[in-house]
Amino acid sequence: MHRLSYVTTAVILLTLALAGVGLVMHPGQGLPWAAYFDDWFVRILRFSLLQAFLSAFFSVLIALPFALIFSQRPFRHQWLLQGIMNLFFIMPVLTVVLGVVAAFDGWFQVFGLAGILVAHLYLNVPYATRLLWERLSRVSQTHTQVAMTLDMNGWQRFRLLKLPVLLDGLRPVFVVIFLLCFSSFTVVLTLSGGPANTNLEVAIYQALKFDFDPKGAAFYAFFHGLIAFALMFFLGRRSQYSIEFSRHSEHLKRLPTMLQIAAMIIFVLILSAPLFALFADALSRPFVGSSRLAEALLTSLTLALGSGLLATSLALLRSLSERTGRITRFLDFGLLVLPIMVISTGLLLMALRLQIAFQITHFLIIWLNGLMAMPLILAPMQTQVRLHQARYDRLATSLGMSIKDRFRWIIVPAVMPILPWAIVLSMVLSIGDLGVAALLGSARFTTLPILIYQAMGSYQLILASQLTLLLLLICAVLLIAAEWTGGRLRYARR
Amino acid sequence: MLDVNQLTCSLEQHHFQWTFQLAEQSFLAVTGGSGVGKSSLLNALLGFLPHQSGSIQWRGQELSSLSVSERPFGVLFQKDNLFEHLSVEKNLALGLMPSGRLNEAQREALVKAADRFQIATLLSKRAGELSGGQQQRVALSRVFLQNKPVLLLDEPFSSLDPGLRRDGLNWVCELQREQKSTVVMVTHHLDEIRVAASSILNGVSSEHWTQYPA
Repeated sequence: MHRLSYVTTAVILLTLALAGVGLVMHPGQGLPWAAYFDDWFVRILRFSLLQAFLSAFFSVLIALPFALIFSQRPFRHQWLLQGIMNLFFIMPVLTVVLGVVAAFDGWFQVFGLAGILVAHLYLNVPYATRLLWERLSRVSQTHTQVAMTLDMNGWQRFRLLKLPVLLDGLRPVFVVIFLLCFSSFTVVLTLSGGPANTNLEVAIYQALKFDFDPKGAAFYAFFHGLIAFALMFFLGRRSQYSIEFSRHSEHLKRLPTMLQIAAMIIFVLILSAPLFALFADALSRPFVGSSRLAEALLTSLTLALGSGLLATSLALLRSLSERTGRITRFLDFGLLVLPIMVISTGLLLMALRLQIAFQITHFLIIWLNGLMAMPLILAPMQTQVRLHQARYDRLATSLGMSIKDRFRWIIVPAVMPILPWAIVLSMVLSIGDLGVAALLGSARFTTLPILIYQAMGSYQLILASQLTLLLLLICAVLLIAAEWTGGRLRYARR
Repeated sequence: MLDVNQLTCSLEQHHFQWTFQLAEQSFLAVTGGSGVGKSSLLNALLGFLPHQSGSIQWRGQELSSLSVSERPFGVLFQKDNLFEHLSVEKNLALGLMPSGRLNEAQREALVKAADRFQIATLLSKRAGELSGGQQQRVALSRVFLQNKPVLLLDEPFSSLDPGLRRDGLNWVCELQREQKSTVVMVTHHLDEIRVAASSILNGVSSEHWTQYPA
């Protein structure tokens, strides 16, 4: 049973290895290596680090007060707010990009550093808030009560109980968001507004797509990978950054305080502003569509389904292992913040070398998107499987059930209710992908996000927002369908 | 005869040693304070807890090299005796065939056992939907279907109220009479099962057990 779980580890390691070999064996001629260490390289390196630092800094700064207020005490229906925050984490990046453009174009220069920062804030403040909130909620209720009996005032209690937890949590949250933004591709590509605002990932893309310089791409990818891995090294223990997409609702009686209500209203209003602007923009003119829309939709859905099935199978296999070693935990989490463009570049260079790049585009995209989605759906699956195993292992052994019998009667029923949800969540994650598809696809290759990007590139912003709205609708329909089937499967009799 | 001779096991810091003999078709009540090793005894007999030395023999045959399901034991745990997500029928079927697929004769046996234990109307229900008393009755009928010569019971009725506990014990005694089985039952309520027990194994300490007739 456990041996099957090594399949997932093997796939991840194989991917990393192939990408590494691909980077080394790039098929390009290019310039001598020294020529790449130019002003341009220094500039993109500086910009990559600067925008990541600012994004992470402001994300944490803004998230902090909200997390403090929400964690004051648990309140009824708080899962709903947490759910909204999770949605922002899985929402297609393009939705946020076009939402920011729709909401703030004219207020300030959205195509440039400011726009990139704002988009990054929208993507990461909910995530940071969620992580900090969760940490702060771990301050035990008993400790708080003890502190109150000791007649401590609010500030003293904060300093004694919450401050240490916060100081402990700020650094890792900052580093994770720094990493995510450092490896941000879609936002920087679409909102850069010019060569001045290019980061390493976009430089890889430009080297491959516009300069036809695989050697340059390998060079930038190498440095990106180096920095990203170095940062991951500083993260310390990894398990605490994953978002638990659990939907359990605590039946808490207490209503939120006035302060919490006010914070919630502000939080949700600011978060949803770009979405409303996007809706308004998209609906301001009749939908004309695009001649390649049907083709793009079909490709996107096929790729998403493939990635969803792959991610779910990998997660299922992985969840069979009873314990997670340090390496596997590092890999599972690592994929979340791994510079996926670096991996994609490595694999693409390898495929170019073997001259099969354009035959296996679909396969590569499914592979990479599936791997990226896997860690997000893994935790709940693992919880389910372990719960059932712990509960029924002795009984199954005493009945003499074989591995096959256990799989059929224990493991499959255990994961069945969350299977549609897992597939759909990974579909949603990959259907919005622009980076991997744009990098790997040929010029004629089209997906819905690529169409959106092309519409933006030709200044058809209304069309772009209409297509984005369509993308958002597809995600919503998928998620609702999963929720519905999941619920039905849970109550189905077997 | 079930012959357990200087069977030693350890679990974390605890060391256990058991010695007792049990004639076929008799009823042994296992008592003692918590932590003394009552449940561990059953786990050791079943093979869940690996033993370090000593022997377990049934009808003269050494059992310690056999796998859990090859041993002559049917078992009821304290809890989680049923797969709650599966139907009652499937739970019973798994007692007959670990694959859950039955032939005609087995299916008939299943229906008969369900009638016998008055759970025929529950067959299509999910095990998780049943009350605690009904669940234990289903678990008992599965043990009945397994028809193993020795029954190991780890306080299976402890979560039920006294009335249902008495019913549970009556079912066990009937089953014992019908299938001529040998019973080992861990209990906290010795007074309640004294009527059924033929001998008592009392844990004075984890390494010191005394056996005496009831």
